[in-house]
Amino acid sequence: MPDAGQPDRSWAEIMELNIEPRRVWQGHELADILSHQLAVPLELEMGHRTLGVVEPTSPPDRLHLMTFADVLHNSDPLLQLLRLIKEFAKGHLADSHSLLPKEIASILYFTAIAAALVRNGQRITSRPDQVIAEGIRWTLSLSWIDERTRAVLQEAADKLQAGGNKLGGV
Amino acid sequence: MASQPPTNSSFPSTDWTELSRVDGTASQDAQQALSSVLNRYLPALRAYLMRQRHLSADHADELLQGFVVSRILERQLMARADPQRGRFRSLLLISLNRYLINHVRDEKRAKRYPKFGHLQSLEEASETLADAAQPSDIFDIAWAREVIVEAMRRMHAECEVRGRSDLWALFDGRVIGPTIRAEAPLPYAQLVQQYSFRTPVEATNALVTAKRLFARMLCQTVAQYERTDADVEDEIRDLQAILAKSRKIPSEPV
Repeated sequence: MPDAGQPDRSWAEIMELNIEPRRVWQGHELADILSHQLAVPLELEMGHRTLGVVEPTSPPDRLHLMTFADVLHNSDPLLQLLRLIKEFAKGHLADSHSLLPKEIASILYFTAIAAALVRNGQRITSRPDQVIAEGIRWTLSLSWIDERTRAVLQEAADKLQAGGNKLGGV
Repeated sequence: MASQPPTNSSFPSTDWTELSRVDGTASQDAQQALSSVLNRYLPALRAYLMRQRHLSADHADELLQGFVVSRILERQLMARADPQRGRFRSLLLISLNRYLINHVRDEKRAKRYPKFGHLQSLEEASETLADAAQPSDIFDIAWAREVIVEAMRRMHAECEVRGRSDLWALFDGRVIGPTIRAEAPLPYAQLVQQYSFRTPVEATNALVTAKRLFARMLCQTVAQYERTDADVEDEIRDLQAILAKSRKIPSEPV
């Protein structure tokens, strides 16, 4: 709460007519939002696109349970699913009216790329390593990222820094 | 398009039209219009007298009563209201301040020539008058809050009509509580559980929808006394600026 002598902005903020979806949450809530997003089944966000990727190789019951975390934190994720997550995040980042906080979309985007790099030894982006490394460094600077996501990103950052990315195509 | 505002609003009908109906006659129409206008503005005037002029509640009520009789009824202040010459609430506040100056002057005069008691210095009297003439934001702040509370009331009614009590509860937990009741906002994790939001996008969508609904109700409220869309936006910007620079003032219960 503001001090008695400080301007009280909260009443003024109520009168804001331009509601920016990406600013409706407070900074300290982003950890909870990330946790929520990671627990969302892929099928719920991407529907038939997920089915098309997973159906040939996975039993149907796994389909409904597979979450963002299941893929991003997996020691051997399906590359197609990482690509789907990357495209899902990219779509939200490109859409100025997106309802997904930009930080969350960025984390999904870079973690999908990082996981492909360190778990599958594959690149799933045509962006230069330097750009990816900068993005991962920025993502790692967010103090509220969960440990498992951080571990994937850190591993990729180390790999990129060591110049060891000579693997696979886009 | 939103539904029409409920009929028990304290912001009934268009302001300038209503003011023109207050013609000083004793007709039922004029009396109703007068009552409606007074109901709308008196709380803000009362807040102004108490908070800015430091009058007791009783003194403020007494002074307002005198103001209504002397300026609004006898001198037909409403009849002088002209949309081309600025906002009615500005006219109202200027008139109240003038009335207050005269009131203070009369009181000082009575004290300066008392049957018993001390003689007040001219310097002391002029300071009091100068203070009484200073412009103040208190009335505008009280008015802005009246507008917000009315917009909230409309939103509540709208949510009821649309069967979206969840939007109202969400807005209450995230916006009204922290602003008016000085409560912490309903935490994200709690509202996800409470409203079974499956994804962050769903949760954001609900909160954005609630906030946009309120913004619409706010415009609708201000449109009751401003004429054009541009005037409505100007008024909201003005009120927002007044509230942004205001120091914390205890809120009235809503």
